Amino acid sequence: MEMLWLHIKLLLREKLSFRLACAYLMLLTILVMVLPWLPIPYLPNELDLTHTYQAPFPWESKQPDKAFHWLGTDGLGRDMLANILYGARTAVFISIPVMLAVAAIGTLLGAFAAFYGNKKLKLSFASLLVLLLAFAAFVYYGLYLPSVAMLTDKSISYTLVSISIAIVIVLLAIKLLLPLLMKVQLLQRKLSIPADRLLIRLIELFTSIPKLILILALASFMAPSVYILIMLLIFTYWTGTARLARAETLKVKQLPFFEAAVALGVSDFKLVYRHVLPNMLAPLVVTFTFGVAGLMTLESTLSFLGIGIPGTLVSWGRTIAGIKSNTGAWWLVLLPGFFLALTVLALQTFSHHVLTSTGKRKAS
Amino acid sequence: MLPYVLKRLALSVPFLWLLASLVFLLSRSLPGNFGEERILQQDSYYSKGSNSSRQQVYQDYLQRTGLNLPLFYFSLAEPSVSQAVEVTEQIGLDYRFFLPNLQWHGTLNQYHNWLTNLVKGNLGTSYKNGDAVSNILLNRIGNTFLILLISMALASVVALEVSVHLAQQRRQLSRKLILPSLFVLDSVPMFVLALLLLVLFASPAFLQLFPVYGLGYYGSMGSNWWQQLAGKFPYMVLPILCLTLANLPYLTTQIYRSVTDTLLADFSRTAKAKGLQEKKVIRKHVLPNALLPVITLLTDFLPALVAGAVIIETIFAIPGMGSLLIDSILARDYPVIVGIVLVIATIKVLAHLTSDVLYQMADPRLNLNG
Repeated sequence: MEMLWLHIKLLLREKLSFRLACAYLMLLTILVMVLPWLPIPYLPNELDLTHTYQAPFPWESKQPDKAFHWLGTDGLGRDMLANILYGARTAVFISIPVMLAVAAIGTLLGAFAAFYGNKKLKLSFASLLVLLLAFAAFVYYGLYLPSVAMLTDKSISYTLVSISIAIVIVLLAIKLLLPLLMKVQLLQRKLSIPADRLLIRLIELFTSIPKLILILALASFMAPSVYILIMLLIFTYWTGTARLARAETLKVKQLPFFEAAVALGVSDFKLVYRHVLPNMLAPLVVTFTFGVAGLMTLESTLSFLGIGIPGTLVSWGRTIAGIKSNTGAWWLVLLPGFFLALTVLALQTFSHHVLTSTGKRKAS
Repeated sequence: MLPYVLKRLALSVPFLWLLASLVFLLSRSLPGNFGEERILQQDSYYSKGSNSSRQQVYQDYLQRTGLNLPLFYFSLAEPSVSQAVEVTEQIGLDYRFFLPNLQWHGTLNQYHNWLTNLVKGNLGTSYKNGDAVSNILLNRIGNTFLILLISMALASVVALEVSVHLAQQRRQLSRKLILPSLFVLDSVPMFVLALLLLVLFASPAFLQLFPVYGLGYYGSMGSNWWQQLAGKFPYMVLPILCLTLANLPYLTTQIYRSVTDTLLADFSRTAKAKGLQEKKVIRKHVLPNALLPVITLLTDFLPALVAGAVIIETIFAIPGMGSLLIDSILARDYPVIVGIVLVIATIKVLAHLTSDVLYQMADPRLNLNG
């Protein structure tokens, strides 16, 4: 943690581009946070049908009594300035939570899979059986039946009863069934779970289709909604972080201090939490910023294609899509595209400098 | 080599099966399908059909497409609670709701039909126009491949030349200019780049150098393939340029890094020491060694290329796989979507295998079985 902070402070002092990128990102964050309270004359979805397709700075159409469209308007007279600012807000509010969830899931899965390897995680047949049973019961009574009850407008008691059945079955399985099964000699045999191999296969399955195709295909099966899109993005993006966390954990596992900690009898959880995670902070930060940049691009691309994102959501991609009906309106592409590219550039500059300074890769 | 290839291919079959099954089941299990939207909910001025006749047509449609069958070999039917009972006793709960209602359907189900057809090589028919999916895909895949191959070849050649140029010691200035500009180019999203090119070179506002939309929409362009290609060419320039530009930064930085790493090796120092020109050192001694990691790069690159094809084909209205995907997504034409996903996954598997084999051929030290 302190090492990373030191690196960043050093970079801030030495590299001008890093300073600029940081300043821009800070500014963007603050702007996005306070945006609803800023005095912007138009809302992003407000139509002004008397002023459509106005180029930026349309001095000739300035009226003293009406607010001015500084950066022009699109085909429906929506104000470009408001759309660009609120588009930044959407981009940040989608990509940051997704990346946080992705970082958490990916790091946990990758670190634990690499930590346990293929042999270390052992379960008896009995506990495996009980776990499977409890999981099935949980999915059926805890998730499936409540959702059916909700969708068919049953009274709330159906949901509550079903969830309590789930809890009872899970408790019974662990407290009662497990000790019973453990009495059987045959079921006491230990089985090693190849956690690492399982994770690798899972990642291979997920990465066998390009992300964009996977998201497009999955989004086509569902109604366009921001929340479903966020779920889909988390669902498809975790593989990169998981792979990184796995590699970093394998690296740390070989180091002498880790061996010493194991020899001292530190618990598994503490080993991962105290000794593995702090050592992969820098690469994690790098993939985080890289991922945010990728997600911003992806979000704009999706809303440009008009798939998976409702048309009412303000986005840079939606504004850019306006060019389809009028190829002469260059500002529809140039302005949001410029801000999108600038944000991506700032994020990439940040991660590039952190990467080179923490010595994971040679400077190019 | 051959046993290894066969083994890999055999291993990839269950993998592709799993993937295709997941996508198929997901596409069928979610509510709302093509027919339901088109037939049942058409309350326009011109539709004179009554509600019952519409239901009849819908049932016929389900029968014809086999959508009335159960989805999988077994199913958890909707928990059965009779409405009448619920109305009379508002507070009492119907215990039947909580019993799992497992039903066995045998082989008469959608998944079984689909899988047997798939094994026979039949990908099903499109919901939209009833054509065989394999025919639609065959019609479209040529354009995509042409564009992808040309742009990839172009990008590789340019990236190679640029990195050879940059790796020479006295090119300080061009290093300072080219590397940062590649970095900037890398951060421009592909669809923005494509639209910028479109606005600059193919719109009435600026230069109108190239035709924009509609590759292959104007009938046959000539009898033999050469004339056809020449007719297609003006439509292809901007898409190919865009894909090349979008892929160039990553390729160049990777190759350049590989070349500079290899330049530090002992053999390149020896080559330099014996008085060879720097250019020759790079081309003859460094490049063959530096290109080894680049082989895997070209296949790692596939996802970006495919995603690029989707964007480019949509923007420039090229009838290819990518625009087909977007069209079928917008029309909810699931058989076509599943077909496309399957084709892309197969290509990825094959590309991965090819790169491994190539790598082994280029570097015999590598043991594939190890």
